Amino acid sequence: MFDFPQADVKTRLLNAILIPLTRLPGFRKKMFSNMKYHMIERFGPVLRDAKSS
Amino acid sequence: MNADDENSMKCVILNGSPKGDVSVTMQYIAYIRKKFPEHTYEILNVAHEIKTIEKDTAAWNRILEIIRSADLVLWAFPLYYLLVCAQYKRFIELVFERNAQDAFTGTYAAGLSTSIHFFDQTAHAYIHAVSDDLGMNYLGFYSAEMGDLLKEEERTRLEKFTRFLITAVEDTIPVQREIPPLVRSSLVYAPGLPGKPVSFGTKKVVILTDDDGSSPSLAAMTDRLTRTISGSAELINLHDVNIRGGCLGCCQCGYDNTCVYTDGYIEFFKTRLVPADIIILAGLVHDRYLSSAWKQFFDRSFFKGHTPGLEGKQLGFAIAGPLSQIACLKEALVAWADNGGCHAQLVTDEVPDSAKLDALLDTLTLRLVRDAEAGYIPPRTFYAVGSHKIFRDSIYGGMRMAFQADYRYYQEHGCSISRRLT
Ligand SMILES: Cc1cc2nc3c(=O)[nH]c(=O)nc-3n(C[C@H](O)[C@H](O)[C@H](O)COP(=O)(O)O)c2cc1C
Repeated sequence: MFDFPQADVKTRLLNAILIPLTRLPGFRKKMFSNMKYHMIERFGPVLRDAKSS
Repeated sequence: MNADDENSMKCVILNGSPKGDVSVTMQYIAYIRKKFPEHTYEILNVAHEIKTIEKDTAAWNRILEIIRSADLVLWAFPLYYLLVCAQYKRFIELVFERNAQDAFTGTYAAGLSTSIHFFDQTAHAYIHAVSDDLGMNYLGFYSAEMGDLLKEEERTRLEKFTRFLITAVEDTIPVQREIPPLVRSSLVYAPGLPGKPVSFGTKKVVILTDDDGSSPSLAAMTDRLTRTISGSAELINLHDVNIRGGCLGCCQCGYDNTCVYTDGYIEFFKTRLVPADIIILAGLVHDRYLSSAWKQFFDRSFFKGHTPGLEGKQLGFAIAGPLSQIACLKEALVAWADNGGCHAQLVTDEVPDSAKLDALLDTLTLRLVRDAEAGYIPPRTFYAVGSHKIFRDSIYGGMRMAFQADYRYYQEHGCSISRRLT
C-alpha cells in the first residue's frame, strides 16, 4: 500500500511498450474504442480459476 | 429466505455502472457468485438501462418485483465524482418520486464499490443514508480499489465481507438506523426589495441552476442573486443545455479529452463556464444530494480527466434544502471545489426568515466579487492535497495508458513523478 508507483515494474514496462504504439492511429483507435473491455480483461484468469469456498 | 432452497439467500444486485455488464464492479460480483454458488443472484442494470426504466412502466414494475423478492439488496456501483453516477442517482430519485419505497423497506442492504478511493467515503455515506431513508437494514459497505481483485489478500477480504453479509441475513440480525431522517425547513422564501446592486465590474458571472419549477425557494434565491448583480450575469438553466445523457464511462476521452458525445455539453463548458470569473451553482436537495441533472453536469466534466477544468474561479453554492443535515453532500461540494483549485462559499435556505436569506445572498454576491477582484483562492486542504497524490500515482502507473492527456498535463504542470525522476 505504501509502495511508490515506480516500484511496479510490470506496469512501467507495459506503459513503455503500449503508449508509443498508441501514436499509430489504427492501434490507438482500436485500443481506445474498446477501453471498457480492456479494463476488465485482466480479471479473466482470476474469475476462471475461482473455486467455491 | 426468499430463494427456493431454504438455505439459499436471494441477492439482488443493483448495478450502478453505466457500462452494464462490461463493468469492473460486476467482475467483483462475478467473483462473489463463483465463491458462493449456493445462493441466487439477480443483477439489475439500472444505471445502464435508466432511459428505458424512466419511460417503460412494465420494466419499472418488473424491477420492483425483483427487489421485493430479495433477501439482500447490494448497491454495487463505481464511484463517479465523489458519488454514484447520474444514471444511478436518477434511479434512486425515481424510487422516491414514484413512492416505491415499500419495495425496499425491511430488506437487508449493503454497498460495494470500485474506484481509486477518491471520495469513496462520501459515496458510501450517500448510499447508507438512502438505504436508511428507504427503511432498509443497512449492513455496511465494501470499497474496493479497481484492481484489488487481482490480489489474493484482497480477494480473501472480499470473501470475508460476503460471508458476513450472508450470515447477517441468515441470522436476521437487528440493525439500527444510524442516519436520522431529514427535517425540511418550513420557510417559503419570499425575497424583500433588492438591496443596492453589487457591481461586478469586468468580472464575468454565470448563474447555473437546475430549477424545474418544483421549488419556489430555489427560484426565488436565483431571482434574488440575479437582481443583486448589476451588469451582466448570465443565467443558465441546465435543462436548457443540450446534454444528451450521462457519462458512459467509456474513457475514450482519456487520450486527448475528446468526448464520444457530440451534444452541446463541451461547447457549453468551454465557451460559457471556462471564461467566467464567478460561477454560482443553484440547486435543490433531492434525496441526499442535488438532482441527477446536477450530477450529470459533474459527471460529464470527466472529459477533462483528472485535471482541473475551472481552476481559479470563485464558486458560490446557493442550495435550497437541508444541506446542513447532509454532511456527505457538503463535503462533496467543498471537496470538488478545493480539488479543482476554486474557492467555494455556500448559502442555504435553512434560516429563520426571508430577511435573513436576503442578507446572506446579498453578502454572498459581495464576497464573490471581492474575492474575484483580489484573486483570492484559499490554500488547498487535505481534500485537494491528498487527492492530487492519488491522481499523480495512478496517472504515473496503472492509469497512464488510458489517461494520456492527464499524463501530459501533469508533466507540463510539474506534478508528474517521472518528470522529477528524469
Ligand atoms: C466519470 C467518472 C468519474 C469517476 N469518478 C471517480 C471518483 O470520484 N472517485 C474514484 O475513486 N473513482 C472515480 N472514477 C473511477 C471509477 O470509479 C472506476 O474506474 C470504477 O472501477 C469503474 O467501474 P465500472 O467499470 O464498474 O463502471 C470515475 C470514473 C468515471 C468514468
